[in-house]
Amino acid sequence: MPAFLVNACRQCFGLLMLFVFYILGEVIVQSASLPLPGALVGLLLLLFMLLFLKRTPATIASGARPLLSHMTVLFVPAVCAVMLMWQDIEPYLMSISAAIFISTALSLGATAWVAVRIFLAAKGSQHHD
Amino acid sequence: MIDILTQEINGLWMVLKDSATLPGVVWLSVTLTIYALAIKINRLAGNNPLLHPLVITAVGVMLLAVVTGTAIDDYQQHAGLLHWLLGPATVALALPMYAQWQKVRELGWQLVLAIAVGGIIAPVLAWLCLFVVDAPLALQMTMLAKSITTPLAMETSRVIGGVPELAAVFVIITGIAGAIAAPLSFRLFQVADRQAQGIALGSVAHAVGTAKALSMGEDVAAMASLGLCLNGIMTAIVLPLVFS
Repeated sequence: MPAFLVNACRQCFGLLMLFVFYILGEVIVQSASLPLPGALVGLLLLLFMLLFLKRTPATIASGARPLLSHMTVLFVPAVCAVMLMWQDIEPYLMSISAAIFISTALSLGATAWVAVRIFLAAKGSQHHD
Repeated sequence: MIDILTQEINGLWMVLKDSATLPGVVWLSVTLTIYALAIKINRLAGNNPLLHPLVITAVGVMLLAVVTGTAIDDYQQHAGLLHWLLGPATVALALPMYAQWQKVRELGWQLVLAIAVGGIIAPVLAWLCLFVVDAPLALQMTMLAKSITTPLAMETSRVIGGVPELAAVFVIITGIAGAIAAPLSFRLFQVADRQAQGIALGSVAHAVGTAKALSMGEDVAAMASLGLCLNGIMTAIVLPLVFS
């Protein structure tokens, strides 16, 4: 079989595996009525499998590659839906902007500031050991 | 259990059927074409966060929908395959997370703690802004998920009573704002430590922040993707447990 066909089959099979994990996550969440996103449960299942295998199977890696590197385009339908909700958002535009812009700028600095202190404290305790 | 399985597979089948119609094929190809152009434009603009490919593609699709008189509901149905693929794409995030696992074990509790701090400060500050003006609960809930990576944010906001579509918009704007504000913010708080900067960028501004971190250096980006991964999982587990 030519190499590109082998690769295409491998990629399709990898994608199929991801579909299976996703649907498995949804089925688990819904049948156990867990308050978690189904996709998150699928993600954790796959993560546990990788930790158990101690490596990433090439099939899954090649199936995941296009989804991971072009995930951006998958958000387009959702983002466009904002046109439908404009009326509900408009009255709160100022607070939404404040929430997003000010809180993000402050949180960035504050998080980094705290992180520095945590690392220093950890280093300090290591020296005392 | 079998019911849910058939229902899920049926859902996928409907999505595939919608994609195989003429409008489905046309709108899917249009979206992918605009996206390909958007990547080129973003690259030409030196990866400027304001010209993020998602912004260009979404604006382009919205304009085309208005010009052609297509209702956005219809567009969403025609391009439903893209939306459905978000599920498997979220699952695929396990791969980069697994790749970072060794690092998490090396750095230990202080890393988890630092990321958790970012994961708590950002949503609480944002939520306060909406809480004080008494915004609708759905809006407040949506804002809580804004700092984590888009697919997890959408799903998490749905579980806690927010609006997934709005979450996607909040998340992307947060990322853009974070990438632009980062240098100023770090100067203001006088943080020069590169590891700390990376953790803040990843845990507060997710993937767009991580892209910004990459332009600051590989070491900053490594910490940022740790922040993105860990905070994404922590927030997606904690928020639903607290609010539902």
